[in-house]
Amino acid sequence: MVDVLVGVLVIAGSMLILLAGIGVLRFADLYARMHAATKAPTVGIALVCIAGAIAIDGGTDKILLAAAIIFVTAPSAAHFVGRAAYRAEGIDIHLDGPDDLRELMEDDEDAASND
Amino acid sequence: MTRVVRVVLLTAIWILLWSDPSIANLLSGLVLAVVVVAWFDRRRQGNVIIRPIAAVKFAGYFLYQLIASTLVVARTVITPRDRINTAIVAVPLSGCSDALVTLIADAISLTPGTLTLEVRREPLTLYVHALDVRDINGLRHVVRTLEVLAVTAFGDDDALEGLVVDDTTVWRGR
Repeated sequence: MVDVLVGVLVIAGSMLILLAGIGVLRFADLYARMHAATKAPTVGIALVCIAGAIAIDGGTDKILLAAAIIFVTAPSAAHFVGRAAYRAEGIDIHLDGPDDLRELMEDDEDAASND
Repeated sequence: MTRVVRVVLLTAIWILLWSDPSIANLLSGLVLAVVVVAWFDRRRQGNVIIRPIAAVKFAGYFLYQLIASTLVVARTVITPRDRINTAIVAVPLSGCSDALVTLIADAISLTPGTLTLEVRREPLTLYVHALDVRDINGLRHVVRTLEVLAVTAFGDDDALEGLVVDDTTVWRGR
């Protein structure tokens, strides 16, 4: 019974990580790829960690701690890559919908040039 | 009180990292935790408030969003491209402390399909990149719900009073 649960968790987690890899190949621009590469694997790794914590005797606490730390650090890393990419030049960003940040950045540039 | 909690938490993490709850690990962890907490306490502002029931609600809503949007992004990956509709959307918030903004921005970034790119004060606004924004108001509603739940769970009294639950009044000022 426990084995089945562990198996399901590991396979589900691995599938999410696999899908993330496919997403990185298929999506067109940096942000879409980041959504695939940084988010879905977080849940995938969490599932694999939970499975590991159930299946492996000893070290359970370390595995859960590792999962917790991934959950704390992943969004910060994603935020900084995203923020830097918007400001960097020469990075293709395709947006289908509105870009509310563009106005803000232009306002900032105007304010800077007026100083 | 909160300092004691911090010391206990840090010591617990220290012992977990060593995987061996010996006296030596406990003592070295305690000493380190006290030093770290004392060091960072000098530059900390505001108090930590936790309302347990509201905190569970926040965690529950976040987990639901996390799982639901993981499935949505997974489906987007394996179905044709027409599901992708990216945009950067400004989401006004009704105002809360830096720590709470961090919590909300992190929750958004952790949820697949949405990513906080920029935070501005006055008026407090998050700039969120989303993978599928055919429903901009739906996206704003999710972020606003996270804010309302986060402030009711961890906000101080000022933040609670300033909290605007009704979305329409938040949009009107822009």
